[in-house]
Amino acid sequence: MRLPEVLALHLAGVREVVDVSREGVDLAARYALPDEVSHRRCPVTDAAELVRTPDRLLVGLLGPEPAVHLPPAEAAAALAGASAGTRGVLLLAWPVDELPVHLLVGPMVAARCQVVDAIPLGTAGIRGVSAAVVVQRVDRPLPQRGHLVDMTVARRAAHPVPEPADELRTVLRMANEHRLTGLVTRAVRRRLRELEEQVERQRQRLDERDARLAELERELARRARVGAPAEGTDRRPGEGAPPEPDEGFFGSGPGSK
Amino acid sequence: MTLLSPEENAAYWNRRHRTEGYLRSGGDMSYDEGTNRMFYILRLGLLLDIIGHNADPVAPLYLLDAGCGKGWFSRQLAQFGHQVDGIDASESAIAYCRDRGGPARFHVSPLSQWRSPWFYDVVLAVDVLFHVLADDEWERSVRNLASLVGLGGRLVVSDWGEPGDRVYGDYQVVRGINRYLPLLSECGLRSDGWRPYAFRQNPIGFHVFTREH
Ligand SMILES: C[S@@+](CC[C@H](N)C(=O)[O-])C[C@H]1O[C@@H](n2cnc3c(N)ncnc32)[C@H](O)[C@@H]1O
Repeated sequence: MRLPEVLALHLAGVREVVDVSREGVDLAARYALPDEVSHRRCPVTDAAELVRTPDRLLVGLLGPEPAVHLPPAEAAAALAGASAGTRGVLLLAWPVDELPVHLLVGPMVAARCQVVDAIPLGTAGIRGVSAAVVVQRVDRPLPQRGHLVDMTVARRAAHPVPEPADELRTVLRMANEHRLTGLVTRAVRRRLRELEEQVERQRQRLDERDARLAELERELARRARVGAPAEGTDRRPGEGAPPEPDEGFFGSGPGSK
Repeated sequence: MTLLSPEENAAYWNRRHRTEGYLRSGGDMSYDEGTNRMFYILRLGLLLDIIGHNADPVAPLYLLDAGCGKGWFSRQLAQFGHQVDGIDASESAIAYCRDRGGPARFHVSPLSQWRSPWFYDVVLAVDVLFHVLADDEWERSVRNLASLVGLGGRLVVSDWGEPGDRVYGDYQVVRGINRYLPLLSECGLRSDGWRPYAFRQNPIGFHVFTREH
């Protein structure tokens, strides 16, 4: 998805976007906000005062470099005091497959925020941004929205998420999927690690072979020079460049062996 | 009219996939290849709407094309950027899929027997379940496909939109919505409606279900 598409999903009832990204990070041009939604910047430490109700949407760039990116805990703290329904769109500057989820999950729970959307932004063309998570301040768990469909405003309006028919079963499904996919994930992680180690060993072996090959080629060239007829003797007039001076008169200058 | 036995049915599909063209072999035999092309593209459009318009290589969706035949839908969906497994009971169909290559992965398996350590975002069975003639195997197939859909994911199966069952010829049994709804509700899926193909006189459409619990 593109960033304006992500924002549009969460702009209903919003009159101001509050950008708490670090100074020097300027994504405003990427937001493409509608005219009726204003935009302001605010240090993340002051945002809790400002973003108190759902008519303000918090936006920020999170990532691994504290000088450029916000740590997740600061963004979560900015929403902790807001009323239920207030949201934040958090752009992530970690690669998705290296996302330090442990830094996100705990602070979100502490701030009573639920992740309502997690959207890859690999095709959004914002350098370094791999995904957006949308978090919402809640006072009870929200029903799950499917993660693949209804990703446009019109479709979401046409398909509001129904309250689950049986909340207990939904929670059981979450718990059970979580436990069992956790079990499988551990086995797959181990396999992935083995494969990565194998690849690394192969790479080292190839590097060693390349180095040996280069050495042998140099040796071969040296022997060819020693044993071969003087260079240029079989050259026809006008063919190729004249040979570089080799050892001999010129002694052992740079490059001679 | 007596229905084909499971063995006759399997032999029928192997033969049909060996002898018919790319689209006619899994499409509608009463139309030529060109008309079938329209039929396929129209249904792909419907599927796009049901699956959604987003694909991202950073975190692709995982799809199961159950009863993939020669794999046209698998290939098209994989070209959108999704990761697709195609399965079919017919060895000749899967041999064709593998020969043709492409971005999807293909395996020989009946719908009722496919196993996976992962859930899928979407499981589709395009024009397959009404070719599963025995009721007990049909139910096993529907239950197994449903079980492969993760929370929030979708099951998309073709059948007609009327109540009650009907037999067409010796190798098609369409089943009524009254069969799907209670079975899939029991499996934790909510019905999100039936979308007719609306292709000429074809009575079939996509039943769409979403996993709720
Ligand atoms: C009408 S074709 C549809 C093929 C494909 N979905 C398409 O639209 O091009 C029906 C397919 O279902 C497969 N099939 C029938 N019964 C099956 C079963 N129990 N398990 C898996 N595949 C089955 C057949 O081999 C055949 O390829």
